[in-house]
Amino acid sequence: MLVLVLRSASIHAQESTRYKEMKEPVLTKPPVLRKFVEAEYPKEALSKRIQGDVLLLLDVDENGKVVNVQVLKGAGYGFDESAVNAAKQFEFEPAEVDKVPAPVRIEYVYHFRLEEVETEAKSPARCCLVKGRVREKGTLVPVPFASVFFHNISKEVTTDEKGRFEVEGVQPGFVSVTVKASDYKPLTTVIEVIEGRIAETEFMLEPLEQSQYMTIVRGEREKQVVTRYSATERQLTTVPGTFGDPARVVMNLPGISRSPYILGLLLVRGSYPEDSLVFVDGVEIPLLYHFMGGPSVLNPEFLKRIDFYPGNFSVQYGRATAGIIEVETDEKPSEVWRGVADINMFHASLFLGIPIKKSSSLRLALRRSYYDAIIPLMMRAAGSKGTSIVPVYYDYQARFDTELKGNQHLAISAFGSHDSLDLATTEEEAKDAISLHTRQGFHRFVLRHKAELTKNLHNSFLSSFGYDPSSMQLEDSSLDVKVLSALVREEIVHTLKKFFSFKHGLDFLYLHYGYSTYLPVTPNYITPGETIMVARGEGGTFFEPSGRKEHISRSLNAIAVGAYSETTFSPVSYLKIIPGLRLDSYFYLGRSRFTFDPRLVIRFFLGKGVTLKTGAGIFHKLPADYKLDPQYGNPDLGAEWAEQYSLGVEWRFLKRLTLDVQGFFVRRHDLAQRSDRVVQTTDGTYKRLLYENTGSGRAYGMELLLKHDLTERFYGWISYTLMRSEEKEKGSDSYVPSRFDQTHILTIVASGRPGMGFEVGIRFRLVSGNPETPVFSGEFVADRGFYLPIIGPLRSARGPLFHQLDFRVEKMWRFTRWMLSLYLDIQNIYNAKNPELRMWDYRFKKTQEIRGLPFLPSLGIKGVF
Amino acid sequence: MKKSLIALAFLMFSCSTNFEDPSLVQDLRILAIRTEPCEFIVGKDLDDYYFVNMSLLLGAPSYLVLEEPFTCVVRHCDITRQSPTCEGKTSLELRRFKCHVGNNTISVYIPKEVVQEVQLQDPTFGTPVHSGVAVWLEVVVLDKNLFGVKSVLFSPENPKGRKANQNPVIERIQIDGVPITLPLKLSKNRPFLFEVVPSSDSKETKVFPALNPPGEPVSVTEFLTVSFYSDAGAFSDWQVSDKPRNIFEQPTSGVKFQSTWQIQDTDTKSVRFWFVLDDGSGGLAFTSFEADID
Repeated sequence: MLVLVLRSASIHAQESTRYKEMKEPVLTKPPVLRKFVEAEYPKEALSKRIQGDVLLLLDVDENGKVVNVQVLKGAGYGFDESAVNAAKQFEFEPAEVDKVPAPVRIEYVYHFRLEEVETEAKSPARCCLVKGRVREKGTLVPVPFASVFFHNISKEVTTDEKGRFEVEGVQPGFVSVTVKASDYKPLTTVIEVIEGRIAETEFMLEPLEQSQYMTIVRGEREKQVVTRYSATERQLTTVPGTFGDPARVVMNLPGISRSPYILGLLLVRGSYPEDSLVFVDGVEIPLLYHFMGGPSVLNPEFLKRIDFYPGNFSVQYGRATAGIIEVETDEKPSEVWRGVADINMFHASLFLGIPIKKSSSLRLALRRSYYDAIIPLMMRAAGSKGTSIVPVYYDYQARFDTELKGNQHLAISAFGSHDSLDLATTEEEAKDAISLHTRQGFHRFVLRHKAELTKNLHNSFLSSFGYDPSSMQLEDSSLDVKVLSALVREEIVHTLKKFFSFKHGLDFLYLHYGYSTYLPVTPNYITPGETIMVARGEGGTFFEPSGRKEHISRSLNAIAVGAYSETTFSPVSYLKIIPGLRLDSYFYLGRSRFTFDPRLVIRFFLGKGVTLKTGAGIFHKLPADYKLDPQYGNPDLGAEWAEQYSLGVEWRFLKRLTLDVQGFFVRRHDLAQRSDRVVQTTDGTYKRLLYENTGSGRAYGMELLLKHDLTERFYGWISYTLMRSEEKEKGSDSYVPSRFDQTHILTIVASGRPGMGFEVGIRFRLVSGNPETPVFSGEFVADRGFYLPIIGPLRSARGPLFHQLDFRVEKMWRFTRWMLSLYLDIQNIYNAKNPELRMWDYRFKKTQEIRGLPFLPSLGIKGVF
Repeated sequence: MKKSLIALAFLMFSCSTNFEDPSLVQDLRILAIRTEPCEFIVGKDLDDYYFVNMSLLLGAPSYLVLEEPFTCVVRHCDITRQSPTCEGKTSLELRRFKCHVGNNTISVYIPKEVVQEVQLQDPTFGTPVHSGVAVWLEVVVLDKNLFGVKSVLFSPENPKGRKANQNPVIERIQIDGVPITLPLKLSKNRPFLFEVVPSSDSKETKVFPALNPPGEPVSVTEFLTVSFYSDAGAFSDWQVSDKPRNIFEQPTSGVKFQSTWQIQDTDTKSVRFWFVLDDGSGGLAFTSFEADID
């Protein structure tokens, strides 16, 4: 009997091997026993008519020789020693990993039986052929290399990669069968075999406390960057306080400041959300979350992993100065039909995975919120009247994957999201009185082709088309923007020698903006004293105080071209040097901008699981598009840029525990800031600049991540950031804390499986308060009859400490062909107040804190079929 | 543009709070500061001094016992939105006087050097697009830590023929459509519709030099705002204006500056009222009276 578990010795020994680009190893051929050696039946057991099974662990080398035998579960009576002696003499056809003979470690059960070996003369008639399949209960995923033992003929077969088996010569009648596989509970059952018929059967194995998300860990991905934090599969959907939303898991990693409420703003090392980018399979998306703190725009079932780079990221990413989130969706074609339906208090979603032919599949997902239906019902049920703004959102994803000949993979996908704000009211007249029409969305169509041209040459081509519509209507003002985009990216990875590889890439992005507005115009004159005489909500000096509006329709084109090259150089096995260079050019409104980003990463393995890492680099981006607008911005703005430095250490000090500590320093330059300046242009006219590249900032600190690997029973981490983020206004000599500066950010996440299908987790956060500007009193502005605050030094005070405990529990039931989960996710379990905003009265004498989210439970039910 | 949509959408909607009503005067407050004139049209050569008649309206409830007079100071410094006070800065004291609850009228002299300094800080000064500067005067009630700022504009005759802004005038106050006559008696437990009627020439059309084409005249019509105050009872609206409430609204014409006032069962025997009219460009008018409660 053979029970095979994939354990590649080379992965665990990676510390001493040369670094090279590795994809996850694949067992392409299991070892096949070529020479079986009969073990001597122990005399004691024989005399006492005792039978036994000995579970052995065999190390089989690349030549098929057994080099080590361990007893995992013995049977006593001398069985163990006898089995070991015999097994040491086994000879195998060697296993192959990636089609190359490789050492493997396998489990082997040696059965000692007193029944006589059947011969053709003595055994009863064996007529029949039994075919079948072994699958995982609930998910129907095939179980490869499972052992199927037919007791009445003492014959064992092993399932193939698709979980199929075939055995001849089975006796007709009721046959006892035992099925075993690693990580599954053994199954013993009885099947009926009828003479003259081919018996087809299916065995469903229950995994040992695994979820549908579990994959066998095959080793860590190679790192080409200073720091990358990753979350995979099960971690993506079970972290408490994230409502099962994968993208929110990233918010619990080092380097990200806490976002107010559950808005989920990406605040990396004190930067602003627009300084970081989010990619889905290499395609940038403008929105990560739905409106008003809604879930991320991606269905969790599509996601394979999320990588977060807090800084010093590779040159393949450009046009960002802070951090990168790269979401990777599952590209392996689905082998079985799969569906997931999820209903909770906020939305319902559906996912389908459809296998097509041998190596292709289609995945579809759809999600829709129902606040707009539920809230009025709840208000009516409570007997209250009123009007509330509610977010309405939907998102969809579709993906077709196919493996082509010659190690090629083609993926065609479409995904998108839509958000709007609507009114939920119990009063019909409110619908006429209040006009609210705010919508935002994005849609992408992506074609991706990957090919392994040779063993050392990999090519990746991506093209994508996008459509991003947004509109807003308030009273009689309106803003309607449509952005069409086209992206092409080509990348080649070339391994020249074992210690030398290149990555070259080129990306071309075309954007077409079309917008139509009916908004107040920017004043074409200067009002004396305007900077003080304009009340809050009047648009400052941005908009003409008269409220005069104009229809403006405009279309603009922009092109961005980026070229990058990165070299990975490992002169010795413990050193990796990765210099890279990125050039970007931008063409917008007749203006060209060119940027040059050199970057360097060095990783130095010290031994005993310790790696030193350091990085430095330059990062450029253009200011946000609204700041470049010809009407409401300054199209002459230059690029913003940052220099980033980091130094740290990674240490795997126990098998499952790693510690990652690094210090960082970031300096930001030429940040686009609001300006009241009026300047004379070259043609003699004057204009308001509105924005200027006059801002600068810096951030420095330390990030720590202590992580327990994902295992069957537990995962968790402690994340701590100690940071100072500051900025400087134009003309000022001193730095002040930036808006999202949070000195201490501590997050503790732990999730475990105590058994019986339960998963229980907690998340605790302790974060410094946001900077506040102290207000002493109010100054009465007689010209307009309102008050301005008399303030202390900008952001010189701190809000109260934030602390919150979240809890999640999930119970799963596994049936033969489907699974059911019931989950409860509770935010703020002890209802901490955590003020998020401070409101002042009209003359800044009294203040009131607006608390954060209260105790907030979310109950959901999910079916997986 | 896209990312600002979310911010713009939330401009209209703010959290509700339990703060006091600004129209209810429950302690000593600066309710208005008026200068006559409110704007000077000046040439290249400035006068040595510019004289303004300043009226400071201090309001307080009749039941509040205060030790009068207070000490008031008028001073000038560099006032900005981030720092709208002269506290902690170098400032020039222009006048110190004794003040009391009610209307306080004094003379203030603004020296030429102050005007020059402010003009030189304006990067458009001397250019065809320069429309004027605001010299800010801060009034402080020293004993009571009350602060208020008022602008006096110094504008070039640009475009030619430009006239200085005039203070608006409150023509009359009406209650339920009828002009009030003093002494006034009001009843408890019923609403009274107060209306402030500005004079017909209070709403002026001004002319500013445009940025593009530089110096071309741009006509801008003023917006009027009336603030309603009382020391008892409650007004339905503190401020009524014909200016749009936010950037999304259209300006409306023919607005009546009305607010409904009512007092519930009370022992109050009399109520003080104050009404302030501003034109949004530094011009101001106010009036006040007391009414008996039936």
